[in-house]
Amino acid sequence: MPARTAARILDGEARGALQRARSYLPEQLIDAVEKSGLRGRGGAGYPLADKLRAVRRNADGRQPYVVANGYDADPGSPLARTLLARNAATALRGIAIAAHAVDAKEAFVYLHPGATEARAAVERAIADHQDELGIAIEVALGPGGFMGGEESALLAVLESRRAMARQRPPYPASQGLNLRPTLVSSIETLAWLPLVVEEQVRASTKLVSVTGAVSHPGVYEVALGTSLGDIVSEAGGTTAKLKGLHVGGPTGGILNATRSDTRFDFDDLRVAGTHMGSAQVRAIPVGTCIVNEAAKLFAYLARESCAICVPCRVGTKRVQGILEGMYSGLGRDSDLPWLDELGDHMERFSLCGFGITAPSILRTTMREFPDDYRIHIQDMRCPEGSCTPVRSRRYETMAQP
Amino acid sequence: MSLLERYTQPSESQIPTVAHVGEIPSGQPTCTIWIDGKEVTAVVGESILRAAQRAGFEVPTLCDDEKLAPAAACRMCLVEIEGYHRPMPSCHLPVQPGMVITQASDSLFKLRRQNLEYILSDHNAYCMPPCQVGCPTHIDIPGYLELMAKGQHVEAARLVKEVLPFPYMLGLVCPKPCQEVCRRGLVEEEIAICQCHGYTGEMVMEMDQAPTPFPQLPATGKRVAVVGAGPAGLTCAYYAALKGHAVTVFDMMEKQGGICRYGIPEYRLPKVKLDKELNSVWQLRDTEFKGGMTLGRDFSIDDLFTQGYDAVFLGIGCWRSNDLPIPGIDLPGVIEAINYLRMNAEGNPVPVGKGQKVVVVGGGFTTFDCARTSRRLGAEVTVVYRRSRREMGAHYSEVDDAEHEGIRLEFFASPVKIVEKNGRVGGIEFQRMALGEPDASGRRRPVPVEGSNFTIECDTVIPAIGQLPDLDFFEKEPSVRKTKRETIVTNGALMTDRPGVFAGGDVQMGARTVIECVAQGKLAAKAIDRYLAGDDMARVAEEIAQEEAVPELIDIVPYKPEEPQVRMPMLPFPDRVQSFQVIENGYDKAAAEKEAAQPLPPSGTCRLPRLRVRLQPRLHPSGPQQVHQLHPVRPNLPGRHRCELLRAHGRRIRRDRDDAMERLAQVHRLRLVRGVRGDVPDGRADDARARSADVRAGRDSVHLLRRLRRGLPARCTRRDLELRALDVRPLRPHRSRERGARRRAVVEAIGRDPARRTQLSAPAGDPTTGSAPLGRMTV
Ligand SMILES: Cc1cc2nc3c(=O)[nH]c(=O)nc-3n(C[C@H](O)[C@H](O)[C@H](O)COP(=O)(O)OP(=O)(O)OC[C@H]3O[C@@H](n4cnc5c(N)ncnc54)[C@H](O)[C@@H]3O)c2cc1C
Ligand SMILES: Cc1cc2nc3c(=O)[nH]c(=O)nc-3n(C[C@H](O)[C@H](O)[C@H](O)COP(=O)(O)O)c2cc1C
Ligand code: SF4
Ligand code: SF4
Ligand code: FES
Repeated sequence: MPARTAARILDGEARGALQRARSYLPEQLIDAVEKSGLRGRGGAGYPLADKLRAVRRNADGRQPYVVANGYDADPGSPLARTLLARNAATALRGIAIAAHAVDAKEAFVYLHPGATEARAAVERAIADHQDELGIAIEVALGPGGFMGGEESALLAVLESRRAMARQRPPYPASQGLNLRPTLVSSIETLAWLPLVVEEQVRASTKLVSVTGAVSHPGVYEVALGTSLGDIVSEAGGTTAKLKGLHVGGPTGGILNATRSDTRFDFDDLRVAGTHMGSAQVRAIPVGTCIVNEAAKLFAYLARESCAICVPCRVGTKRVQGILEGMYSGLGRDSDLPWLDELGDHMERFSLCGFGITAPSILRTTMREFPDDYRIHIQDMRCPEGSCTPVRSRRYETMAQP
Repeated sequence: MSLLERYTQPSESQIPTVAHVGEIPSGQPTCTIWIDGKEVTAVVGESILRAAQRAGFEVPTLCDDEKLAPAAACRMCLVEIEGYHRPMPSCHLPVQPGMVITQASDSLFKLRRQNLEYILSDHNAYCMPPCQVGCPTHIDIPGYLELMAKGQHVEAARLVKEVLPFPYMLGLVCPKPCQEVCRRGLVEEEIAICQCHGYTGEMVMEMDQAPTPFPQLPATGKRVAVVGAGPAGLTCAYYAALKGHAVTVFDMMEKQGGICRYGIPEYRLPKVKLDKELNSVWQLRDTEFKGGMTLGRDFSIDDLFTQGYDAVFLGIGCWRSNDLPIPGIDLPGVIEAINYLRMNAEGNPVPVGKGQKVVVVGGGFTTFDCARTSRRLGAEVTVVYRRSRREMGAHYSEVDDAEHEGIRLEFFASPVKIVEKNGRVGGIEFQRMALGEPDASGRRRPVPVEGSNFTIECDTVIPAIGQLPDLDFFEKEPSVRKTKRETIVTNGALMTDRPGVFAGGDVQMGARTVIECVAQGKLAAKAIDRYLAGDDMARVAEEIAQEEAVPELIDIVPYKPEEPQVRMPMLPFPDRVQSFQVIENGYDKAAAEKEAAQPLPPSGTCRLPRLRVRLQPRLHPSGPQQVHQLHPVRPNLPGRHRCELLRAHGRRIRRDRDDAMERLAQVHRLRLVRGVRGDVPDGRADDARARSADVRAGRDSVHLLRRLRRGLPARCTRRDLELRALDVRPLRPHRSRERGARRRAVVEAIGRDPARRTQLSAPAGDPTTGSAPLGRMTV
C-alpha cells in the first residue's frame, strides 16, 4: 500500500536506537518520550510517558511485562498488519526500548489470528534480531473478534481466559498480566520509540485506514491534524458525492460530509463527537440511509460485545432493535428521546471503552442527520429509498415507558 | 492490596474481614470516607460497597457476593466519587482515605432504573419458579416435590409447613393458582402441585405429633388473641405460637375451621381429617381454643387488652351473604346460602330434599357448594350465572364436576324477580345478558338483552352471589376503620389503625380463597412477632411489600418431552348422587412420587423482585404483539411440528447453558488454581448443589447467586429469538380453564365409551397403602 506523506514509522529504520536507549537511564528515556509528545495510538491517546512511569512506580521489585497490541480489532483498519509486514524490525526495537524503560525482561506481540503475513514477518524479525533485542519476545494470538483488542480482554486472553473486559482501576500498569504491572501499548505507539530516541522527533503522524467510496482505499500515514477532507484526497479522492464520514471504526460516530474540515487529531475528533478509535475513515456516499448504517453498526456491536456488563450487553441489542424497528417503519417519535436515554446510560454505566464509546454513533447521527430519522419515523419511508424492512413488530420484550 | 489481589490469596493468608468476624477486626487499619455527607469508618482495602452497607446504606447490588472476587458486571452498585468523571462500581473499588462518595442521587436513580429495566426486560427465565410466585404463600414447590420424589414425605411436609400449616386441607380445596402458571403446562399439562402437598399432609396427619417447620421457640411471655378460627386465624395462631408467643383463639362457633368446616361440604373436605390437621395448632405449647365466644357480643377488643393480651388478630371472615335486590326475595323458599351450608354441615335439617327443584344464582365457590349439596340431597338443581363459564369464580374442575353430577348450568342470565305461587316461591324470572364493552378490570361487562325474559320453575331459590364481613359490632370499636366494602382497613403490615390490632383473611380482603387467607395469616403472625419485639411497623410493611413483590416475567420455552399428569382417582360420577363421600380418593405413594418426580424448574432467591420495588422500573408486560420478532410472522405451525421446534429449542437452551457454565468454569479456573477463600467448586458440581434442598433452605446462598451470574452472559442468538417468537405469550390467567375444556371433552369421550366406563367405576384403593388402580383416569 503506498504511503504518500512524509512517512515515518512505516519505513523509518533507526538501527542504532536500541543501543542509544540502553545508554540512557530509564528515567532519562522516559523524559525523552515525554518530550516527543507521544500519545497512545490504540485509540484513547493516553501519553505513553505517563504509562511508562506508572509501570515503573508500581513494579516495586516485581518484573513487569510489555504487551504490544497489534491486534487490529477493526477488520476495516489493518494498521498493525501493514506496519509489521513493512517494518517489523523497528516495531520490535520499540518494544525492546519500552522494556528497557520499565525493566521488563519478557514481552508479547499480540496479533489477530488472521494476520498470517504480519505474524511471519514478526517471527522472522525476532529470529534475525535475537541478540540485538536482548529480551524474550513471544508472539501471542488473540481469539478473533472485536473485543480481543481491548486491553483488559487482551490480558484475559493471555491468561487463557475468554476475551472479557475487566473493571479498571486497577489498571494494567499496576495489575496486568498475572497481576503484575504490565505495559499494554499499541504496536504503532511502540514503533515510534526508536525514532524518538534516535532522531528526537515529535511523534506527529498517525496511520489511518481510508475505506468506502474512495479511489484507493488503504492504509496511509498522515500528519496528526490533517483535515478529514485531505485524508480522503490522499486516498485518491472520492468515487461519488459524499453524505458522511464515519471516523473511528465500529464504535465511531458518523460526521456529515460538510464537516470534512474537521482535523484528524485525538482532541478535535472528540470535540466533533467521535474519537480516534481504530483510525478508520470511511467515506459514505449519498444514497446511504444513515439510520440503516447506525443499525448495522449496532448489530455488529451487539454481536461483538463481551457481554459482562449489562448496559452494553443489553443496550447494544436494544438499540439495534429500536433502529431496525425504525427503518422497518415501526418507529415512534418517543424513540428518539429513548435512544438518547439509552445512549447516556450506556456511556455512563458501561465497563469498558466499547460500551462507553458506542453511543457516539447515536449522538452524531441523530445530531448530523436528523432528517433521516425524521423521515423514517414520521413519513414511514426511507429517505434514500434503500431500506428493506426486517421487522414486523417492534423489538420489545416488555413495553417501555 | 487491591480487591483483585485479595481474592487470589490462599485462604489462610487472607486478611480477616468484617464479614469474617462480624465487626472491624482489631488491628485492621481503618480510614475515614464520606458517603452522602456522612462520615464512615472503613477498613483499608475493603470495597466501598462493604463500608457503605455496614454504615446502613442500601446500595442496590445483584452480582456482588462477599465470597466472590468482584465482577462489576451488573452495574447496579455504581456510585459517584469525587475525582472520577464517571460512576464507578462500589463493589469493585477499594476505599481510599478521604473519598467523597454519593451513593444515592437523582441521576444515579435514573441510571440504575434503566439498568434494571434492561435486566428485567432481557430476563428470559424465572429465577423463582412461577408456581412459587403463583401460590400466595410461596411454598417452595420444587423443593417439596423433590423431597417427595425421594420419598422423604415428613421432610416435604416440614418444608411446606414453613409457609402453609395445612397442606391436606389446601390439597382438597385450593383453586390452584400455582398450577395455572406451571411451565410444564406450556408443553402438556401442569404438575399436580396441589394434590401432591395434599398427599404429604395426609401422610403426616397419622403421626402422633405433627411435624413443625422448626422447633417451637422458647416462651416469650407475650400473649396473642386471635379472633376467628378460620384458615387465616389458625395460620396466624400457628406461626405466632411457633415464635414462642402464647395464643388464645376465640370463635363464635363451637368448633374450629371457619368456612372450611361450616361452609365447604363434607364431600369436598372430610371434617374428621380436617380436625386432625387443624389440631396440629393445639399440639403446640401455650395454645388454647375458646369456642362459642362472639366478638361484639361476649367480649370486645378492649376486653382482650384488659385481660393482658399484647396483640389481637381479627380473622372473622365473611359470613353475611350479599343481598339479591329483586322483588320476591322475602318469599318463603328463598334460602340464605351460608346459613344453608352451615346447617347442613352441623347435621341440622335443611329445607331442601328429594324431588325439589332448586335454582342457585351465582358462579362462585358458594354457588357450587349449595348446588352440589342440594343435588346430594336429591334435588333437581340449576345454576344460573350472568357471565360465561370462563368468568366463574369457582375452579373449573368444580364446574365440570357439577355438570357431570347432573346439575344444569345456565349462562348469561340475570335474575329479575321471584315468581310467587301459593304464597311461596314458584319460579324465578331471568333476563338474558350479552357481553358489552370491557370495564375497568378488562372483563367484558354483561348487558341485558331487552325482551329476552324467561322463567325457570322451582320451589327453592338460593342466591349465592358473594359474601361480606359481618361488622355490626364495629359500632362499638371506633378505633378500627372499615371500608365501603365492609372490610377492615390495615396497613401493609396488616395492622389496623389501632396499634396492636391486626386483621387478615376474608375480613380484610373481602371474600377470597383459603390460600390467600393462609398467606395473610402467615404475614400477620410475622408482623405481630415484629410488633411484639418493638420494631418499626412502617419498616415491616416495606419489607413485606418487597418480599411479596411479584416479578412480571415472560414465559420461557419448556424443554421436556410430554409426560401426562398422574390423575387424582375420583369417585365415579354416578356414585356421587345422594352421597357425601369424599370425591377425591387421594394419591397413593407411587402416584405422588411419580408426579413429584417430574422435572423441576430452577429455584432460588433473587434480588430482582426487591429491586423492582425500590427502583420502580417503568416496564409493564407487553401484549403479544410487542414481543421479539425478527421476521414477518410465520403462519401457525401445526401442533406436532411446533412441539418439535420447541423441543429443538429446549436442546438449544440447554446447550447454551452448558456453554455458559463451561465459560464460567474457565473463568473460575484461575481462581481455583490459586485457591480462593472458601471453595469454589466447578460449575456443574455447584449446580447440583444449588439444587439440593439444604442450599435452598439457606436461601440467599452463594451458589444460587453464582447461577444468576452465570445466566447473565449467556447470549441470545437470532435463532433463539426467532424460535421464541413462535411461542412467547404473556402469562394467561385463564389457561387452565381452557385446559379444563379439553379435559372435559376427554372425560365426555370416556363417558360414552362403555369399556372405559367400567374402568371409571373400578373400586378406589386405599390411599395410604398404595394399591389404588392408577390407570383409571390417565387419559
Ligand atoms: C361455601 C364456600 C366455599 C368455599 N370454597 C372454597 C374453596 O373451595 N377453595 C378456596 O380456596 N376458598 C373457598 N372459599 C373461600 C374461603 O373459604 C374463605 O376465603 C376462607 O375460608 C376465609 O378464611 P378466614 O379465616 O378469613 O375466614 P373464615 O374461614 O370465614 O373464618 C372466620 C371465623 O371467624 C369466626 N367469627 C366470625 N365472626 C366472629 C365474631 N364476631 N366473633 C368471633 N368469631 C367470629 C367464624 O366463626 C369463623 O370461624 C369458600 C367460601 C365459601 C363461603
Ligand atoms: C473494543 C476495543 C478494541 C480495541 N482494539 C484495539 C486494537 O485492535 N489495537 C490496539 O492497539 N488497541 C485497541 N484498543 C485499545 C486498547 O484497549 C488499549 O487502549 C491500547 O492497546 C493501549 O495502547 P496505547 O496506549 O498505545 O493506545 C481497543 C479498545 C477497545 C475498547
Ligand atoms: S462495555 Fe461491552 S465490551 Fe465492554 S465490558 Fe461491557 S459488555 Fe464488555
Ligand atoms: S396451596 Fe394452592 S396455590 Fe399454594 S401450592 Fe398448594 S395448590 Fe398451589
Ligand atoms: S456491579 Fe457491583 S454489585 Fe454488580
